[in-house]
Amino acid sequence: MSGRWKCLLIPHTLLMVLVLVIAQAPKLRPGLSSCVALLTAVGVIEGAFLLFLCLAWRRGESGNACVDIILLVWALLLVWELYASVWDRAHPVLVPAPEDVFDTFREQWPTLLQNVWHSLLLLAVGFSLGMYLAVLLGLVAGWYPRLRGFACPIANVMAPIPPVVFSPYLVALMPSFRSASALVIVLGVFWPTFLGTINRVAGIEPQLLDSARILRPSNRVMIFHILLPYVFPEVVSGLKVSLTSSLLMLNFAELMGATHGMGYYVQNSIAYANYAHAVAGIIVIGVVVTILGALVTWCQRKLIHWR
Amino acid sequence: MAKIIVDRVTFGYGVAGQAEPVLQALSFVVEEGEFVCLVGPTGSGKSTLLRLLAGLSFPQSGEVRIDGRLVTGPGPDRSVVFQRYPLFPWMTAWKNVQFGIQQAKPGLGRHAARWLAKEYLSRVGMLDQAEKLPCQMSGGMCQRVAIARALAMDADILLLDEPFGALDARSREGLQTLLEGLCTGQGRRKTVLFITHDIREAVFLADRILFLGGGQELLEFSVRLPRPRGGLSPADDGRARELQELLRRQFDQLQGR
Repeated sequence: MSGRWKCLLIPHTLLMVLVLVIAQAPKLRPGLSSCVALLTAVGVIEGAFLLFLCLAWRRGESGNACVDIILLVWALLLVWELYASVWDRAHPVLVPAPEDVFDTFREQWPTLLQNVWHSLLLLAVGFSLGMYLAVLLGLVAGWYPRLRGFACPIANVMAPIPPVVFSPYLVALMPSFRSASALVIVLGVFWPTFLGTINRVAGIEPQLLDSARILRPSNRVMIFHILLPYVFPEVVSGLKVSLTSSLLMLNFAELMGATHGMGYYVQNSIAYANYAHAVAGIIVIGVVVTILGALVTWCQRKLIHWR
Repeated sequence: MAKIIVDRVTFGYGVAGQAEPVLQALSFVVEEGEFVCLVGPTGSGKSTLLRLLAGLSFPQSGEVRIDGRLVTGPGPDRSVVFQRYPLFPWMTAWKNVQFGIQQAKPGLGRHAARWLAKEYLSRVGMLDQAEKLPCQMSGGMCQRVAIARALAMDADILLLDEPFGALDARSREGLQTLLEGLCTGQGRRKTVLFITHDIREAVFLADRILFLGGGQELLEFSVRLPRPRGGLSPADDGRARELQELLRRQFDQLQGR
C-alpha cells in the first residue's frame, strides 16, 4: 500500500467501529429511534470526506487536514454514541442520543426546510438591501467631499453600535417581526460597509485618480466606472465578515420573537425541552452557514479576476 | 504658432510660500507639432510641470496657456500617459482604449468606439492581446495600450510622464521607435511633451530638449538629426553621441552641487 492510501487506514477503522456500535445499539437499548438516519448521515459525511480528500490530492496537497478533521468527527460521534446510547450514561433529556437527533432530519425535514427557507429569505433581503445601499451611498458620499464631511462623523458614531443591542427595540417598533429583523440585518451590514466604502474612495491612489481625471469623466461615469470597480474587491472581501455578522444578527433576531426561521426553531425546541430537535437545528444552521461561506469564497474568486 | 506657453510659472508643495517652490518663474514655449523632451534630475519638478500642463494642478503664480487659452483643468486637447496606472486594471486592453474614446468623443456610438479602439490597438501591435487584462500583460504591453488610448482620443497634445521608465532596455527601444513613428511621421504630427531621465531616450526622440535644473534653471538643446532615428548615418550618430555627452556632463554638474 502506498503512503498516500495509508492515511485512509485509521479513519476507516474508526468508521467501521462506529458503524458496528451503531448497529449493535438497538439490541442493547430498545426504545431508541431507528438508526437509519444516523447511518445515512455517517455515509454522507464519509462521502464528503472522500470528496474533499480527492480535491486536496488533485491540488497536490497531502490532505492531512481532511484526515485529521474526519478523525475528530468519528471520534466525537463514537464517544457520543457510546455515552448517550449504548451505555446510557448521559442526562436523558439534556443530551439526546445521536439516533434521536439524526432521526429529526428524517421526521422533520419539511419543517426544517421551511425554516431554513424563511431564514434565507430574510437574510437575502436584509443582506442585499444593506450592501446595495451601503456601497451606493458610500461611493457618492466618498466622492463628494462635502457629503463625506457630513457622513463620516455620523457613520463613525453609528458603526460601532452592535445592532443586536437595539434589535429588541426594533422588534417592538416595527409593524411586523419580519420587517424588524430585516432592518436589524440591514443596519448591521450597512454601517461598516458604508464606512469602509467611504474610506476606500477617499483613499484612492492619487495616480489612479489622475489617470481617471485626465479623461474628464462625468460624475456618474466616475462613480460607476472608476470608483465602483475600484472599491469592489474590498466590498467582496468584506462579504464574508458582513455575512457572518448578519447571520449572527438574524439568528439573534429570530430568538427574540419570530414564528419562523432557524433561530426560532432552536429556541422553540429548547422551550419545549426537545433537545434532540435543538441539536438538529444547530447542525442545520452550521451546514447552511458553511455552504453560504463557501459560496462567498467562490464568488470572490470569480468576480475579482483583474487583481 | 506657439501651442503651449508656460509663462513665469511658480509652484511649490506644502502651504503656499512656506516650502521652497519646485518651479520658480519658469517660462518656455512649445511650438505646434514639436516633440519636446523634458529632462532633469529627480526633484527638479518635471512631473509637477506636466501636472500643470495636464490641468491636474494649478500654478501659484504665472500662467499656463494652450492655444492661447488659460488651462483651467483637464481638456480634450491633451491626453496624458503616466508611468504608474497607465491603464485601469479592471478593464481589458480593448475596453481601456474604448473607454478613453468614449470619454473623449461622447457623440460616438459604442460600436464605433469599439471599432476605433481595435484600429488603434492594431497600430501599436496589440490586437492579439486585446482581450487581456493589464495584470496579464507586461509593463511594455500596458504602455503600448496606453499610447494607443492616448492617440485614439485624438488630442493635439500628448503629455507623457516617464512612460518607459520602468521597462527593460529591449521593450524600451521598441516603444521609442513606435512612438517616434506614430507622432512624427508625415501628416500625423502631434505636439508632444515627453518627460524622461534617460538622456539617450531624449536625444533619440526629441526635436528639442529642455533641461530642467530645479527652480528657475532651464537649458535648451536643439536636436537637429534626421528622422527616423532608428538607423542614423555614422556622421549623425556621432553628433547624437556628442549631444548625449554634453547633456550628461550638465547632469553630473547639477547633481554634483
